[in-house]
Amino acid sequence: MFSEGETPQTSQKVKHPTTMLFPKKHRQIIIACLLVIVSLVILSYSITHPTSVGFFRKLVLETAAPLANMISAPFRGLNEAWKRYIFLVGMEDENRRLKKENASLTQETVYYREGYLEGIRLQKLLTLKEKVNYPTIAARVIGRDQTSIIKTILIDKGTSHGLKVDLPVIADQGVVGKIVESSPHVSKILLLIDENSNIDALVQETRIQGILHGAASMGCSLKYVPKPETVTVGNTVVSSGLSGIFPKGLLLGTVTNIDKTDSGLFQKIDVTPFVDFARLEEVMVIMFDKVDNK
Amino acid sequence: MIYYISLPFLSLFLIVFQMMVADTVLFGKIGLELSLILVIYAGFRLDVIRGGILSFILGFVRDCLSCTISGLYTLIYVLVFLISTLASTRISLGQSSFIMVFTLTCALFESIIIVLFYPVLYGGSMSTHALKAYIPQILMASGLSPILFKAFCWIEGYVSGEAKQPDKRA
Repeated sequence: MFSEGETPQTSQKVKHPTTMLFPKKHRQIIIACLLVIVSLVILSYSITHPTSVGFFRKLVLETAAPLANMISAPFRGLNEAWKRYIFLVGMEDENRRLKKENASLTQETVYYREGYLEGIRLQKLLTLKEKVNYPTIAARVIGRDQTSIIKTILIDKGTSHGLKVDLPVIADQGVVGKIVESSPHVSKILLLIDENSNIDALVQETRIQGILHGAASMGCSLKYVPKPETVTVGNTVVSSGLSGIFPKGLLLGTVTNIDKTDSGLFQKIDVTPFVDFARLEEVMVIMFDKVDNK
Repeated sequence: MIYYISLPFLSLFLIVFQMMVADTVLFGKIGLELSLILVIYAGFRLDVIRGGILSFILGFVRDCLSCTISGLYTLIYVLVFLISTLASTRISLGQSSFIMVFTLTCALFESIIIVLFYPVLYGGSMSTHALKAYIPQILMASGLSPILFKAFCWIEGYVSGEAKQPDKRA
């Protein structure tokens, strides 16, 4: 660090005018003692008078403030730049974490929303259950085949739950169809709109009876209603209960079109089912016994 | 005379600078002891009057800016300066390792004095957390001391002129 010639042992002391105040022999010791004594005096005075702020102390504080501002400006800039850099470094990780968290929360929201909607649907079914005077079994739709000519859906309940062929199936809006096949845990429902579906029905307002026939994508048509009978658009079609499969009074659909121009004996009445088969998720099977009904 | 006139301003600048560095670069977690290292340097390089007054003013300024009472750092710095002056009559600062060890000792001495004076000044014992804060501060001062000694030496040479540089010390 220092050259050999400048070690304290070999270097010469600098003569200073102030040192002339003290005897040459002991001046260093005297000055050292003076400094220590003055320091101790300041310290002891400060301890005994803690509230008093000396002139020099005030002066230093006053001078330090603008100096601190001047010096801190580049440091503040440096600090800000550093913080920004650190922020940017951490941002990628945080971004990744937030994206993951967002996906997770979105999934969770979807899950909760599904639960909420399911709750609403089940509440409707429960209301329906209270309205129907027969024992019912709720089931979930697990599959659907509505693209082909045969319009069916699968539900997650079967013979082990007491279901059997020909039991009527309803939703909160109205009749869905009837069970055509049943295994221990799955049942197939023939929908109202299937062309093989024929249900004894009547027009609620006029009590005119007919057969509600499935017409696939066209919905349904009410057949065998004589031309002289008055049916108007908007009339409600309900089950008549005559076939013994569907209890009386279940909602089937609404009349949307009436055509009497055909040369036959009967009117051509188009009926739109109340049930939206594309959005079916839960259904209710009515444990309707033909014998009991009779 | 210029030395004595400029000393308060330079001391103020140094203390404010070290406080700013500690606050912004070290996030206020570790104190920077540039002033203490300068006092030690002065003990080895300057005569008692110059170095003593430098230590006194540095300590006083530090007291004013970072201590609620006056005189504590003033006393510590004067004592450290005198210890360094006494040490300089026996040993020379030839190696960085020695500078580091000596600075470590002086920083430790400073911490011990503060810890000892703390109950007298503030009427309570110093927390363990505050004691732990001194350890990195002491180690940092020790680690920085060789570099700062070189820097002070260079500044001293630059200010005084190359011709006078070797024989500053009494």
